[in-house]
Amino acid sequence: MSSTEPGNNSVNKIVASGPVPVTPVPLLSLALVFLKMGALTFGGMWAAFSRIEADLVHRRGWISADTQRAMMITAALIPAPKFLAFGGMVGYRLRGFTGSVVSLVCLMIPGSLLVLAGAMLLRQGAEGTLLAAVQHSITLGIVGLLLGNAANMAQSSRLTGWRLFAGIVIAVMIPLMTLLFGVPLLVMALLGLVSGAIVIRPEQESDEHG
Amino acid sequence: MDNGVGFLGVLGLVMLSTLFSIGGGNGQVAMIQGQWVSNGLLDPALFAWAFALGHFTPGPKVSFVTAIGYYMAGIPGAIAAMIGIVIPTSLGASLASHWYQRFQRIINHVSISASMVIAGMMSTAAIGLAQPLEPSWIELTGIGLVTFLVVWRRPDPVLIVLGSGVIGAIVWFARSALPG
Repeated sequence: MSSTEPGNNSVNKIVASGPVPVTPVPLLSLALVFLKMGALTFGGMWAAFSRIEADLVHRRGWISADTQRAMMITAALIPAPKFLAFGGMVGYRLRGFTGSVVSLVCLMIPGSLLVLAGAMLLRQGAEGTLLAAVQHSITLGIVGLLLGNAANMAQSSRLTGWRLFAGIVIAVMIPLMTLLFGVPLLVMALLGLVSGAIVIRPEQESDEHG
Repeated sequence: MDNGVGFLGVLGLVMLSTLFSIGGGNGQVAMIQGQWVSNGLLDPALFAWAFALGHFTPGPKVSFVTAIGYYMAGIPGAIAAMIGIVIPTSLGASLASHWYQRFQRIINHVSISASMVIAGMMSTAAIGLAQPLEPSWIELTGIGLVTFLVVWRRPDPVLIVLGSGVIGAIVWFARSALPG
């Protein structure tokens, strides 16, 4: 969701209210709730929306439904994985910075342990084996997945006209300069962010400046 | 794991890559691909397997960095990857909660162009991942079909990973069954 969409003023007020716990939440309870969330939710933050609402809003009353939505929108706007950022924001609101770290760690632990177990079980298959063939095929599938996700990400910017053109130029220059001319990806990404922030302004502001 | 990366190397790169995760864009994928896969420090198949694991397991998908950390520096690397995600995210989430209004203008500016920058980074990661595999024209067609499917229907990534694995197994069995 774009930050320029209606309703963001209320989002600002709700999110900016800082660590104001309605009732003091014990760190252990916070940890257990986020451990459970990390172990039982699949498909990312938006997919887990209903489960999160049922637990944090209706069952425990730790945050309001409006606050949950506002935090989810904000989590998608800050430079961090959004599900974790949401967990960190809830933790911060309930127990300050310590709460933020506790909720983040607990949200991440179940998945990370399973991923680690998977990584330890399966290493690279020897050439010509079934495992190597499956890994090769999965890698190709992920290449397609990344390209599709890149296209979806570009679409989600909702840019139009010359702003879209400028965005496409930025998006194309990154692989071009990185893969053909060896410019470090980080340098290109930072250049893209800076040039994008200068050239592609929010629509209202852009209109104001003619 | 004699790649010279170590605990601090994993920690540094994962922390840095977290800054490129605006709006669910997987900045980690592009940064890890660019720094470790394209430089031959991490095999593309292991990288893809780690990424797939992140989709198969519950919780945030970014937990795939734990596997990357493990492949790069063993258990300490896995721990470094987790710390590398947790520190910048908790700082960012706390700052966003506390000073959202103050930073709103900057966030708005950056988030508009960030989608296109992340799209470019993800394309770089995809092409960089495919290059060492030297895909045949049939495999390139398959990649194109998956890309089209993802844009058109947005299927669950788990289905893409499972489907690709099943096709790979079928092709392997078919080749094994053929004489010569």
